[in-house]
Amino acid sequence: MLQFLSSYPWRYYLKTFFRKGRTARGVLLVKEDRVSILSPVGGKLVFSSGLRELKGAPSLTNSSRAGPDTAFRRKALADRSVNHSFEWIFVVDLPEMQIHQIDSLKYGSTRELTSRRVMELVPSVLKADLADWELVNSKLEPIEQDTTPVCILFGLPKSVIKNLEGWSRRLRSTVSAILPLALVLLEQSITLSPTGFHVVLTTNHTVIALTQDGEIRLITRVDPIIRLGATQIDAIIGSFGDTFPEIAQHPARFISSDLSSAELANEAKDFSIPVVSTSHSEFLDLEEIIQGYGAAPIEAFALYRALCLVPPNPYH
Amino acid sequence: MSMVAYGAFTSRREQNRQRYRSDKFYRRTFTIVVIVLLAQVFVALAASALFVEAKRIDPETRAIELRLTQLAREEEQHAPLLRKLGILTSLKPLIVNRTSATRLISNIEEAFSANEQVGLIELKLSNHFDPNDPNSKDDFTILITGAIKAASRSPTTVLRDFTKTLEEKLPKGANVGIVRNPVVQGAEAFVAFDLRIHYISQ
Repeated sequence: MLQFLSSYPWRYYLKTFFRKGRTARGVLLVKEDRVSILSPVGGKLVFSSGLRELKGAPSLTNSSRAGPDTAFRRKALADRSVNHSFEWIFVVDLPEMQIHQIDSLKYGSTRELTSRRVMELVPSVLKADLADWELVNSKLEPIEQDTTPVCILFGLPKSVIKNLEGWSRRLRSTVSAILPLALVLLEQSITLSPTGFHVVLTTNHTVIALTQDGEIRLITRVDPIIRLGATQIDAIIGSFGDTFPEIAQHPARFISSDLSSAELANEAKDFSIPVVSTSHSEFLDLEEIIQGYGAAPIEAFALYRALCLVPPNPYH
Repeated sequence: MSMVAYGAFTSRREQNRQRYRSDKFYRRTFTIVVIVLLAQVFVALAASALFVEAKRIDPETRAIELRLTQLAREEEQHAPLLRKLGILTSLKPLIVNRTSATRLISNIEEAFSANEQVGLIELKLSNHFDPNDPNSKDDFTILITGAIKAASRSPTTVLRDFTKTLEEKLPKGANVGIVRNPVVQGAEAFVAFDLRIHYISQ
């Protein structure tokens, strides 16, 4: 009863008593070192980066207050129509994010993904009860939609979800989804190269995947390339190639929102197989779609992809 | 293009928030609650307005009540006088509508004066009037004994003329009847006659 009363959206009903406003959506990249936003301003998507230092900016580690008097509200959210009808998609990158490849046969049918169930699926999983879990199929779609032989288990700390939802709630807005940055970049990379190796480099993770016709065959997560070194990653790619030799002939695509294409090329120069560094020039109509993308083109496009990845609100 | 599930990595609380926002039943319930609350606000406003108005007219009401009490006391003091006035009021129609006997006698005297040949011997007047009955009327019966000079014209003709004069002089509605006609007997100078007059006041 208390839960029902605390969740009862009386303020929303009051504000939309006579007319439901148009739902708008925005994407926020929240990392330890940076915060960026992509949302419509006057009918056009506008990207802004470097917002982490503004007071009231969302944070992964603590519940920051996004009140109306904060610098973030005044500067970053000005003209972005953030109100009770606004939906946020958060793209996060944090060390506690977990990725595991699961055998669908092991998962079974539509069973609730409890922490107990997660521990059964992945015995080596860390802090299962402190995380929320989502399972997607090899096409990165909900598992209920199409159960593929391989499925991928993502885990995010509950505290981070709570912080971001609390931040959104103070703006009277809602949260459509919270997506790991690695998932968004991987989807972006698969779209550009449906078959081949994908190396997704973020500040906290290196995700290596092998795909065939847009479907993931193998996937693993290791430490960041800076910590682990190119040799270790090259070895993993080599072992993947041994499993699927017919796919291994394709070049490996590197993608990162942190590194420029030149930096990416530098990191990939020692690899034993041909490498393609993802450049923003590969994304069509970027300047037409996103205003202000020049500051961080891959990041801006990643946020745009996140906007496309989450379906519209089914309750509306 | 692939699509993740809507609400991925959001808590149950956040998903409930979304569901509640679009739930028609909850929205309608809220509308009803708002209407009920607004109605209560209006009732409270109306009640407070009435209360303020009552407060405002309270001294006036108290003054009127005091005046009413005073008037009731005064009415009690003047009760005997009022009772008398009531009786007088009930007697008013008796007084106003009554016909005086003197007026009838005066009319009869005028009739005698108009006829020199006729003289009055005796007049008896009786009135059946009930003073205790407010609807009672004067009911006069007058018995006249008169005399006519025998030397003049036929006494019967004289009496008929006198009767006519009498009817003219008396108020309308008076009934004049001959009880005894004048009959000449021997050499008497006067011949007696009797008349009966009946009159009920209108």
